[in-house]
Amino acid sequence: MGAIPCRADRSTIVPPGGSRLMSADEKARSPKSRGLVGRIARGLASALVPTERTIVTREGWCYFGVMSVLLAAGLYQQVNLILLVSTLAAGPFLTSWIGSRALLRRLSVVRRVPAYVFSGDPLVVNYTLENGRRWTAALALFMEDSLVRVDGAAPGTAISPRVFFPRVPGRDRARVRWQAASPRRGKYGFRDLDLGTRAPFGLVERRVTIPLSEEIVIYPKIGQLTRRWFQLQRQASENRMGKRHDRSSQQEEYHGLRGYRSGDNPRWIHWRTSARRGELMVKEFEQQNEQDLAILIDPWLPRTKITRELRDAMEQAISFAATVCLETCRRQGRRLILGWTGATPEICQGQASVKLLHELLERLALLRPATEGTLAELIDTLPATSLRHSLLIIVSTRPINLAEEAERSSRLAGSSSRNLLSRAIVLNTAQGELSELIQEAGLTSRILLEQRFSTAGQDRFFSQEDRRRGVQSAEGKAAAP
Amino acid sequence: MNSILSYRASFYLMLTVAATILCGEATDSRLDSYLPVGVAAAGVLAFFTVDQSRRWGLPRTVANILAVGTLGLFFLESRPDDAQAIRCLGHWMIYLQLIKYFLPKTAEDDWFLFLLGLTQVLIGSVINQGDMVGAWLFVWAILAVWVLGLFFLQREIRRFRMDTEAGAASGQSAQDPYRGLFDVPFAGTTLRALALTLVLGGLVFLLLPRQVGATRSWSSGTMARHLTGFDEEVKLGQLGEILENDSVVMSVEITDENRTPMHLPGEPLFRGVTLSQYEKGGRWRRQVQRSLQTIVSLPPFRNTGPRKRAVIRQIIKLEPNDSTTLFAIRPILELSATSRLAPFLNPLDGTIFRPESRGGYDFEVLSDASSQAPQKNEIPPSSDRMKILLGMPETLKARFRKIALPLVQHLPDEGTGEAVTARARALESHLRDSGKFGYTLEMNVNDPQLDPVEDFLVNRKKGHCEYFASALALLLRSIDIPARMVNGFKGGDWNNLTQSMNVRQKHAHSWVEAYVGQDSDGSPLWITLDATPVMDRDESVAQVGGVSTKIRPLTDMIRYVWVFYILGYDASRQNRLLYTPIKETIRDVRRGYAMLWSWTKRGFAHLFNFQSIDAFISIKGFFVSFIVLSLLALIVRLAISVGNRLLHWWRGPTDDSAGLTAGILFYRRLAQMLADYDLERTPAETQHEFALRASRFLTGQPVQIQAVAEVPQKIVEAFYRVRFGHRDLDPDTLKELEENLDLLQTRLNTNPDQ
Repeated sequence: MGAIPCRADRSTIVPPGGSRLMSADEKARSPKSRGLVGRIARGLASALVPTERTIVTREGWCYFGVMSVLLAAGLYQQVNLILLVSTLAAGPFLTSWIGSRALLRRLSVVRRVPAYVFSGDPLVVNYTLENGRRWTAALALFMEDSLVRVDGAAPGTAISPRVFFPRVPGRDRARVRWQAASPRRGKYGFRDLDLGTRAPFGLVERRVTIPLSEEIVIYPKIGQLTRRWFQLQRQASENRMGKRHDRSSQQEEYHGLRGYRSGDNPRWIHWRTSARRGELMVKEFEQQNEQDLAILIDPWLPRTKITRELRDAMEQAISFAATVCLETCRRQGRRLILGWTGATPEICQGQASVKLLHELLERLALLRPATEGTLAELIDTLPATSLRHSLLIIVSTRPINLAEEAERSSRLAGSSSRNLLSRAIVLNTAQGELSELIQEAGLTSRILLEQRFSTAGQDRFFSQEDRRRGVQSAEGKAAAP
Repeated sequence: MNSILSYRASFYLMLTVAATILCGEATDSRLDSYLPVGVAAAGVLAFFTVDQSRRWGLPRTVANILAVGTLGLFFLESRPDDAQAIRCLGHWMIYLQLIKYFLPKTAEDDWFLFLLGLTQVLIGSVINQGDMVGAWLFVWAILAVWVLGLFFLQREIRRFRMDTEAGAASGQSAQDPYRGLFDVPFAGTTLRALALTLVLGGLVFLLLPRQVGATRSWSSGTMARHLTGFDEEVKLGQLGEILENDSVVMSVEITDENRTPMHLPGEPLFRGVTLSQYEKGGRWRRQVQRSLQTIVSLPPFRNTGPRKRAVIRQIIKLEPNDSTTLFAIRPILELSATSRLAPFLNPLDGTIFRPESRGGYDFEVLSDASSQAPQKNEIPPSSDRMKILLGMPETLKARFRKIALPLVQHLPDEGTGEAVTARARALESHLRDSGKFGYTLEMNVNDPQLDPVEDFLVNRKKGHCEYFASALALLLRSIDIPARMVNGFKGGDWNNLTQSMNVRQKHAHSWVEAYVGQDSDGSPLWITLDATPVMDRDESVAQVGGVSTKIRPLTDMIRYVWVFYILGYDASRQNRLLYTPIKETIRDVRRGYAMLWSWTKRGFAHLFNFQSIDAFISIKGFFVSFIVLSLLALIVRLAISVGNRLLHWWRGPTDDSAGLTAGILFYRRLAQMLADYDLERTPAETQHEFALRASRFLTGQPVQIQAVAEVPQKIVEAFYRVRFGHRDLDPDTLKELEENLDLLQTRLNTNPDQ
C-alpha cells in the first residue's frame, strides 16, 4: 500500500486526442513488439484472420440465387439464350468479386478522437478519408468502428460508429463527423477500423481492417459547486486555523500597488496612496499557497443487492470529487491529494495543475466500486504533512464515523486525531448530502472545464470577491436571529 | 447531372428495352408493336409525376385492384391460343410493371421491377432469336450494368440514412449526395467495369459445359414470318415478291467431312420444295400432304468402301418461318438436327422437312458432292406419279411441243438416260444461252388470253427464274420428259472472314429436275436443269440491298457470331474454339519444354564430360568454371534478394526508431491541428514556410495564443531534423514537443473566438 506516482498514460508517439492515420494498403502489424514469439503469433493471427474480407451481401445472395436458377434452366434445357442471359447476369457478380479489391486501394483513413470526453457529453469522432488516387473518385465507402470498454469493467453495450463517404474525388479528402452520447466513465478502446465498400453493384462487400486501435478515457461527469460548498469549505478551513482570518489574506496575499486600470474593482483602490500620489492606485494581490486539500473517496458498494440508488450515489461521489478537483486545479500552487479506498487503498497527489487535473480525472474515470477496505487504511496511506495540515473531504457511500476510523488508524495519535477531525468534511452521498453542494451545469462538462480554465486568470479576483461576498452573506445570515 | 434522376431515367430506359426484347419479333401481333412504346411513354409519365412527388402516386388499393385486373387480361389473351401462353405471361409482366411505375418506389420495388425486366428479357430470349433481339439484348446488358451501378449508389445512401425523402421526392431540387459524379474519370471507370462485366459474362458463357447439340429455342409458338414461294400452291410470279427482299433465311457453314471449312465453287443450289402439278393460269401445286404416306429418316452415312465419296457438310441455321420446308444441297446422304424434333426425307420427291413450322431450326446435312448422283432413299415415280410429272393442259402441251420439237429434233430419241438428258439440256440451253430470253423482275403481261408461261415463252421473253423454270418444265413435259419444278435458293452472301454463307430471300430461285430413268440399283435418276440466264440474275441479286451491302461483311460477321457462337454454340463448337486449342497449346508447350530439357541435359553432359582432372585445365574448363561461378553468383544474389524481401515482410512496415516516426507524427498532428483553422500547406510551400505562415497567423490571435506562436516552427525544426537530417530525437525533446503541441491545442481550443 503506497502512493503511486501519477503519470500521464500517454503514448510518446501518438497522444490520445490526436489523430491516427493509416493507409488501407498497409499490413496490420504493430511495430511495438519485436519478440520472436510475438511475431510468430502475429503472423499466425494475421494468416488466420485476414485483414481483407470479401462478403456476399444479402442482396448478393438473392442475386446469386436468381442467377443460379437461370443457369440451371439454361444448362438443363441447353438453350443458349437463357445461358447467355444468366452468364451476363453473372458478369456483375464476378466483377464485384474481382474488382472490389481495386476500389479500396490508395485510400488513407484518419480518425480524430478528442483528448478526453466527459461522461454524458457528446462523443465526437471525426473520420477523414483521403483518396490518393490520381483521377478515380472513391465511391460509396463506409467505415465501421467499434468502441469497447478496455478497463476490465462490465463491457456494457459496444458503441459502433459507422460513417459513409458518398464520394471522395481523386487526390482529395473528405471528413465526416460522427456524434453520439458518450458512454459511462472508464477507459475505452477503439478497435481496428473497417473500411469497406459494396461498389460497384452492392452484391459483394469488400472490407479492409485497418490497424487503428487507440484508447480514450471517458472522464466522470462534472457539475457545478454551489455556494453552500464554498461556505462549508471555508468553515472547515477556519476551524483548522482556529480563528477567523483576514479575508483578503485568506487566499490572496498583498503584493504591491499599481496604477488603476479600467475594470479594476473600486474596492482595491488604495486611497491613502492614491491621495498621496494624486492618481488612483490599486492594491495588487498575489496568490498564496493555500491549504492542502485531500479528497478521500470511499466508493463502497455491498457485494450483493446493489441498488440503483446506491450505484448512483457512488457515481455522484465520483462526479463530486471530479468537480472539486477541477475547482482546485484551476489555480496552481495548492497541493491536492486524491485517495480512494479499496483492497489496496491508493492515492494520487501533486501540485494543482492542468496536468494533475487530467491525471486525477483519469483515475476517477477508472475508479471501481470497492467492497472491502476502510477509510482508516486509506488515512494510513496519506502523507504525514497531509495528516497534519490538509483539509480533508471525505465522500462515501456509507455512513462514516471519522472518530472511529481515526482511532483505527495506526498513524494518528490522540491530538492529531482530534486535529484531523476538525479539518474534515465528511459527506455521505447515499444520504443525499451532496445534493446541496453540487448541481447540474447547464453546459456540457467539457465546455465547463474550458470555461473554468480560460477565465481562471481573469476572474481570479472576481471569484475571490464572490466568495467573500458569499462569506459575508453567510455571516450576515448567521448574524441574523 | 443529378445522379438520382439519371438513375431513374436509366431504369425506365432499361425496362423499355426489356419490353422491346419481349416483343421483338412480333410480326403478327399489333399489341406487341404497341407495348414497348407504351412502356416508354409510361416511363416518361412516371418520371415526371410519381418520381417527382409521391402524392402523384397511385393509391395502394387502386394498384392492387389493377394488379388483379391484369390477371383477367392474361386469361383473355392466352385463351384463344395456348401456344402463346409464354408470350402472354411476358405481357402480364409488362402490365404489372406499368402499375408499379406509378407507385412510390423503395429499393425493394426497384429490385422487383429489375426482376420483372429480367424475366421479360428471358422470355424474349426464349421466344425470339432474330438478329435484332441479339442487338437489343446487348443494349439491355449494357443498360442493366449501368443501372445496377447507379441503383447501388442510391441503395447505399438509403442504407446509411442519408437519403432525404424530400430530396428524393422533389427531384431536381434534391441535394445530390454524389455531386460531380459524372465526370471523365467516372466515365472511364464505368467503361472499364462494363467491359470487365461483359467479358467475364462472355467467358463464363463460353466455358460452361455444353451438350452435343444446342437448341436455339423452345417451341415458343411465335408467329413467324411467312416465306413466300414455299407453300402448297405457288402462283407463277409469286417468288418474285421475295426476290427483292434482303432478309436472311438461313446461315450456312459449309465444310468437308472432317468439318474443315470449304468454299464451294459456283453457287450451290439449296433445294426446297418440288412443284409437280401444273394448272392452267400459272399455278403450281406441290404433291398434296395426304399423298405423303411414307416419310423416312436417313440412317447415318458411313463413307467407307474402296472409293470414298466427296461430300459436302452443311450446318444450317434456319431463321424462324412458318414453313416446314428445309433446304439443302441434293443429293442428301445424311440428315440430323440438334432439336428433339428430327427432320425427315420425303421419299417421293427427295425433299426434306421438319415436323412443325414456326421458330428457327438448326440442322446438319451431308450431301454428295456430285449433284447428279441419285438421292438416297428416294423412290422411283410410280405410274400415277408419272402422270402428274407429265401433266399439263392438252392445248398447252400441243403448243409447247411445237416449240420444243424443233429444238430437239436433231437429237436421238431413244428413251435412254443419255438421250433424255441431251434433249433436256438442249431445251435448257435454248432458254438460258440463246440470248432470246432476258431476266427481269418486272411482271408485265403481253397477252392476258394466253397462259402466263406461254406468254413468257412466246411474247415477253423476259421474266425471272420462276418463268424460266416453268417454261422449261412444261417444254420438257411437252416432249414427254417427266419434270418437276424446284423452288429453293441459289448461292448466298459468302463471308471470307467467317467462311460461312448467309442465304437471303433475294437468293430464292427456281429450277427444274428432269427424270431420266433409274440406275443399276433401281434408284431414280434426276438431272438438275437451270434455265435462268446466270449473269442477268446475278446482276439483279446484287442490286438488292442498297447501302447495307457496303457493310455486309461486317454485319454478316456479327450475325455469324450471333448465330453460330451464341445461339448455336454447342459442345463441338466449344471443343473447336476452346478445348482443342488449349489442349494443343499444352501439348506444344510440353513438347517444347521436353525438347529444351533434352538439349540442356545433353549440353551439360557434354560440358561436364572431362576425361581427367588435367582436361579441366583447358578453354572448355575455363568456360565451364565461368558458367558455374556465374550461376552460383546469380543464385546467391537471388537468395539474398529473396531473403531481404522475406525479412522485410517479416518485420512489417518500417517502424523505426521512436524519433523518426515521432518527428513525422508530430508534424502531422500539427498540420491536422492547423487544418481546422484553414491553415494548410500549399504544394508550393516548404514546411518551414508553412510554419512561418502559421506563426504569423497565431501572432494575430488573442494574447494566450500568441504565447504559443513559436510552436509550429519548433515542430517543423524537429521534423526537419528527423526527416531530412536523419537524426533521432531524444526523449526529452519528444516530451517537450508533446507538451508544446498539447499547449497549442489547449490554447486553440479555449480560444473564445472559435
